[in-house]
Amino acid sequence: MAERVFAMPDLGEGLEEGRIVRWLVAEGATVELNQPLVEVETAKAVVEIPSPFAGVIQALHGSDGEDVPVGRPLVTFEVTGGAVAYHAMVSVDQPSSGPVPATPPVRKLAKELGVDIQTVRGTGTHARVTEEDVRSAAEGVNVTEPFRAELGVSPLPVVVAALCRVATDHPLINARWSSEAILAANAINVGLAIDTQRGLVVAVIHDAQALGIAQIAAKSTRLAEGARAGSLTPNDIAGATIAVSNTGSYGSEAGTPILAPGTSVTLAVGVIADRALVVDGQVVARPAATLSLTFDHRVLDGAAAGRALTELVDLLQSDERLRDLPR
Amino acid sequence: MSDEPEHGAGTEPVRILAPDGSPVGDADVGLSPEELRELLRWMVLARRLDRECVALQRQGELTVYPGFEGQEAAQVGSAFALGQLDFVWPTFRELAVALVRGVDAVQYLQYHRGTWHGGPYDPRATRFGPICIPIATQLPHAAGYALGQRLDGSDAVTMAYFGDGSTSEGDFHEAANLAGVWRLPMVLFCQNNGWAISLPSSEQTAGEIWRRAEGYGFPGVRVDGNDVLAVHRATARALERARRGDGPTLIEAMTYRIGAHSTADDATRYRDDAEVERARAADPIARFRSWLLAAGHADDRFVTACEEQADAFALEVRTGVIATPAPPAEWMFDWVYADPPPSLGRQRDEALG
Repeated sequence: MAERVFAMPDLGEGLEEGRIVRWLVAEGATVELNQPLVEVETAKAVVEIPSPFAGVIQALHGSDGEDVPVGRPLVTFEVTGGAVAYHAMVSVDQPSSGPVPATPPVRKLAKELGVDIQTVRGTGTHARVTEEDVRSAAEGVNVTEPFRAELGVSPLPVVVAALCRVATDHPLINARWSSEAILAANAINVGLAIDTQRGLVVAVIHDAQALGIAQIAAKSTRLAEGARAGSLTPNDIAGATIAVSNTGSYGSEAGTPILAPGTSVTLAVGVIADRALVVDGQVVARPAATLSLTFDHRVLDGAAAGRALTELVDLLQSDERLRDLPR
Repeated sequence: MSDEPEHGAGTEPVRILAPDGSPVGDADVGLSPEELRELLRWMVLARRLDRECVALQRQGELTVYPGFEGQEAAQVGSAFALGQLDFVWPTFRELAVALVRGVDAVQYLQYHRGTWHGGPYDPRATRFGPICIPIATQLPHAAGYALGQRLDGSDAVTMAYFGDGSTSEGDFHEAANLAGVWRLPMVLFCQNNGWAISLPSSEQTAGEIWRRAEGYGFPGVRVDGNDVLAVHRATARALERARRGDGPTLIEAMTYRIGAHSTADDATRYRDDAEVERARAADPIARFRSWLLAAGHADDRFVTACEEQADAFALEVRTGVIATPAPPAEWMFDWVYADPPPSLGRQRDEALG
């Protein structure tokens, strides 16, 4: 069994969204290929969308009357057979296969902190992964706070600016899959997942690599307001090459966001809160956040994604490097 | 809408089978029982694929798709009459003709998937020209091709497809006039499906399309486009006439577009359901199947086998379409100019990084 996500297609010629008129199936239902799933109204027509898969409906994303942008998940299926998932939680494969040694409580902790335990280098007996190993892998962000407070911006613009810097050195995280080739983008267009009453909207800061933190902050405020007011232009939601989901804004520690079309990486920024961190051998309370990366395995493998994520964490933890970012 | 004349009012079209499948004319159109069964097989296959294509568009696998449901007899009946070297100039709604000509459906659909302009099938090998989106522009091309066929000393004929809406275009007039004055080896095959997008044929033209042939100096015929036998006979006769050097024929096949103009169109906004229901009652496949069974040329087992084959074919095409990779982006630039201007080079560099 494999999970497949069916995104809202462009039902006309260049349409931006579709409105759910009514669902014709329920969650948990078994559907056949081409069985009608949902009636959707676009600017051009009311159409019935037939199921692209045979399988079980895991989740219906959106309720009657809701507008779903083209490319946003509409239905999640559990599909029988050799379906290939097109996104994956960051999981850096160890050269030696098989699970790394760790006790069940440490595995549980790793799961809670959003750490893929396979990626952690164990320092215990027989390279066993210890609780400390997991906690240090959970990447405490502890210098960003004073820096962003100094600039008078929220943490997100700092993360976006840092991500752009990292993407410049790791172009694969700002690339996309095109069946025949991996296409690296010149510009870094950062899609921001914005929670609105009508659902999640991915609004785009174009050419973010050319902007300072203050400009990124101003743009993200404008986009967030526009998304909530429904006044974004098509250009505001088009062309993302990489995405950031501020899962912390609604209190989540970590997230496994879905990739937006045209992107290969989505960074989830968990909630920033005081955590017990080990600094110089002492457990201290420090503000920290969990960063998780969803990425397209066809574009970059776990090692490449892991290197980029480590680089991002290093940057965010270095006062000196943060101050080097364009203001 | 009630004060407008109904689609198909006026001259009664030539018909061999009544809508209920009972013969009203000579049903011997020169086809063997095996060939008659082939007609049904193609029509069932074409309709099944047409519906799959609409589903593929709704699933985001095709960008836009113009359905032809209801026009299977007009397309299959005419295409089946073509000789191997005859050349087809299609519109964008002739997928059934393409199938009969042997065009690979997955290649054909790459146009609608947006991965290849015109479809990567070989028009020379299949004798089926590139899909033509602009209305009626294929008709002057067809006339020119027909002239070329004659200059080559070939006895092959040019088959030009178009719709009722095309006949309001200047290109139709120019092509028909040249066909007449040069007595070109050409058949002008109009599928009058009642609608030019949202414009009913009654508002498209005040006269009957087949009658225009007289003004151009060649014969015209109005045929029941939902009667595959009548369509086949009319087309075979027109091809034969063109082949022996007697010039063109205009065929107006009266049919109906059951679906919307395309997947980007909502026909319920401008058309009565009752009209569509009346058209469904004149279904070309049910009509011919009913006659074929009654005449003893096929049995229920054959009908079931046709449907099973069509299901398997649709699934095969679906799989092929979804698996079709996008061609390399540089091809967009490589094949536009023999000597690309510098501005295009800059765009190319920008796009390809």
